[in-house]
Amino acid sequence: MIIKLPALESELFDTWEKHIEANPELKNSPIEAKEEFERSVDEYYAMIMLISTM
Amino acid sequence: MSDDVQKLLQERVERITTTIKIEEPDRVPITSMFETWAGHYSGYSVTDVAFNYDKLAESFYKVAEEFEVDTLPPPLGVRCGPIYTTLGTKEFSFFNKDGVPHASIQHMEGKDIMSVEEYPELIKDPYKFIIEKQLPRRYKALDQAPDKKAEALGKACFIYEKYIANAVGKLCGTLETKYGIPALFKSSTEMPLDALMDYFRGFRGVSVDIRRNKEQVIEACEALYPVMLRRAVQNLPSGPFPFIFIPLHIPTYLKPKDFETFYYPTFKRMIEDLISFDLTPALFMEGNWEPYYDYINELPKKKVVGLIEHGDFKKTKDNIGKTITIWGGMPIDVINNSTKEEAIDYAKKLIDDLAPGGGYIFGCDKSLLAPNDANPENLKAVFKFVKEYGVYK
Repeated sequence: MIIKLPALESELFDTWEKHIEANPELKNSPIEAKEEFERSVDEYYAMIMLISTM
Repeated sequence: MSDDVQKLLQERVERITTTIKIEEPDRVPITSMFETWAGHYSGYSVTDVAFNYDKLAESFYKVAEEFEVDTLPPPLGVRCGPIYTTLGTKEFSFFNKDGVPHASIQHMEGKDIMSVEEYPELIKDPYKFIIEKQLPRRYKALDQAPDKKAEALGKACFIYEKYIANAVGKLCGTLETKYGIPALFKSSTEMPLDALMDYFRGFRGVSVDIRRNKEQVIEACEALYPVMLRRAVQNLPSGPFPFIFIPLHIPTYLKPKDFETFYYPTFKRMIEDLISFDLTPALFMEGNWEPYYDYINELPKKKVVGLIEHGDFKKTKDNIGKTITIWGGMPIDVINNSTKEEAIDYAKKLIDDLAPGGGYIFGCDKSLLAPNDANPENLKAVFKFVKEYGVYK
């Protein structure tokens, strides 16, 4: 099982829902677009954590 | 992967997973925290291994070939040199002003990362505080106009991707497929109070805050909790091995009463949450934990590993050996300042005291960083001895 946590409650933590709100033309995007967006959010978070807590 | 290597890998994984259930495997598993010392052993400087991932990998492969280890940590302790220099770290240093590498990576505690007046801001939105306040105060390149800051973060993303793919992924993959050596850890994090000390308020700041700003320290730990949990687990495969590495920094500087008030609530929750995902926390229990053994015994049984740095190890086994797997015990002082025979005698006593019943992983008491942290010939002799003497009959 791959572990997934809910989004962080933060003004700056990006989510697909916030992204769609800012870019409504993307609301019918295929699931792959959402998954890749969320993957990039996770990668960015991991990088931020590397530089902020190491 | 050849059949022989596959078999070796499976044997090692089974040896470790049996051990952490506090059962007796075929023999005592062996590992240590090899970090920049691995580079020195291959003739490379700290700069070589932190900036050149081929030299980093070569160093770890040499350790895999020459030392009798069952698992090795990913080289996270070596740190990603390019990301620190590109972002202009104010805290970490790999080389001096003339470009001469240090013997080990130097770290100065950050100054003025967060003032006491900023607790409410951190508590309200820790991730926002990190992005807007903490990072610009720790890295010169992130303390610029937004366009320059975005450019620096873009560069950092590219460096990070390359680092994870090569320095971590490729290296650990080769250790598995060529040497049958699994990675010791699949992720790491810190407990919230340690994170508050290490990356926001410093040792002095936190020490004063727990007297004068008790409620804010507790609230800050609660606010940092989801940030640090996510750091540990997001996108990880569940499963008890490899472990989740968690160095514990401040506990032994706290009075037991303060430990209970400030540290223990999020400490216990973190461990229980990781276990709920079928993960195994591996705690680097820095300092002497004897005053806190009662707290350790409140953790879920047979689900946690503790790298013990100090104390009477027989007493440790008797007190917490039914709760957690004990890892370590071999002082690097003994490896360095004793004859081979004396070092082996020390290792024999550790096996005699700690191995019965399982739940013991042999290793050094500290991370191996600088060139003189371990006499390689004594270390090899000790590991070879443990491989033979540590067989369960």
